Amino acid sequence: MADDYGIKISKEGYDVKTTSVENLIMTSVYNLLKTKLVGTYDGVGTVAHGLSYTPIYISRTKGGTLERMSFNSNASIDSTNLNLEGLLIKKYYIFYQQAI
Amino acid sequence: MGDYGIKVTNPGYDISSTEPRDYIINSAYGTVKNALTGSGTVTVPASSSVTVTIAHGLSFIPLCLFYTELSSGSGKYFLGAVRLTTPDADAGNIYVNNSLDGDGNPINTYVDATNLVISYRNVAGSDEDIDYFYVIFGDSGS
Amino acid sequence: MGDYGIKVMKEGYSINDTDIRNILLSSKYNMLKYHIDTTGNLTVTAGNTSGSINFAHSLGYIPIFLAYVQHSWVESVERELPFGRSPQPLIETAYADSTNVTCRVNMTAQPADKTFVFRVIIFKDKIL
Repeated sequence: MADDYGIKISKEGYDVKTTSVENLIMTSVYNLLKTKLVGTYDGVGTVAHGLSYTPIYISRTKGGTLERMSFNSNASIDSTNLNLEGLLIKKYYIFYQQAI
Repeated sequence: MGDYGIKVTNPGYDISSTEPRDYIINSAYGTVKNALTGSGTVTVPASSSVTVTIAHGLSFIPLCLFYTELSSGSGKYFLGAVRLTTPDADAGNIYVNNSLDGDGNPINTYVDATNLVISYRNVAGSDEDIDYFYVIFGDSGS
Repeated sequence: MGDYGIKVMKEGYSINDTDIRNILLSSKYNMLKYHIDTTGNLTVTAGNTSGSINFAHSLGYIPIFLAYVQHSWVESVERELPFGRSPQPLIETAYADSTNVTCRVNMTAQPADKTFVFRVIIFKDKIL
């Protein structure tokens, strides 16, 4: 009986049986970056993420009147909260860690 | 009716686990999706700036990442809107313009509902060709 | 032959919905795959203005990555890189090459040692 099970999907044009990992869309061998929490926050404050560790996050900032997001983060994170800083609207993503 | 989806745990973890980190894939938890990735080369003129505009084809402001080989040929790709004191040993003579106007609007490097816009500045007295790479996610960045 | 793959929508959205934002997982779109998640300390000793720390990734190509820093002498939070920009007194940046992800500090000289805790998340996905 075969002992290797899972799901594997290659990018278009690549042989799923032979191609290397960077040419796979997903594979059950390697964790995907899984989203815990997504939101927006206007101004200064905290968002409790509900995890018992410091997770990965991405934060982007909208300032002013134009519908543009800058690459400024204006945020930090700890094992309890995402901390939003500055008088601007932030868009945030909080991700689970990979395996413990 | 039951709960449907896909889930695959890491080796050694039970499929009934409620800890998200035990899973490689679990359709209960979303993931950011690479809608568009690409790369390019741009000439940054001597003592001047250039703007790279990438149309993303989405109808909303997406989450993005970008990386730049600020020092041509170095093989070192910097994450994000980097502005070091130039010249720099790793970043050379190039930095990312990342300024805000008086109303707090980003004016030279930003993403909107049409484009990813990146502005590079060259402090050297000769033109430089630099490479960049971007990931535009099919997920809202605003 | 038709279009095959896996697609899972967010709760409440039809599988026929075409808005990419409503998709939870789809084999049409590449998803970031973890390689390593690791931390390391960099101490910039008193009077010095820069330092760097390498995180080897063994992928043989330049990977997509994220990086964070904790200013351990003053706070317990982590901050996304890049942090700060010239001419600010503290700038942290990160770059990847085909061997390492390198986190860097540039700062004005301080009278005491400063220890930076860097965390990098490196994906299997390729820049170059």
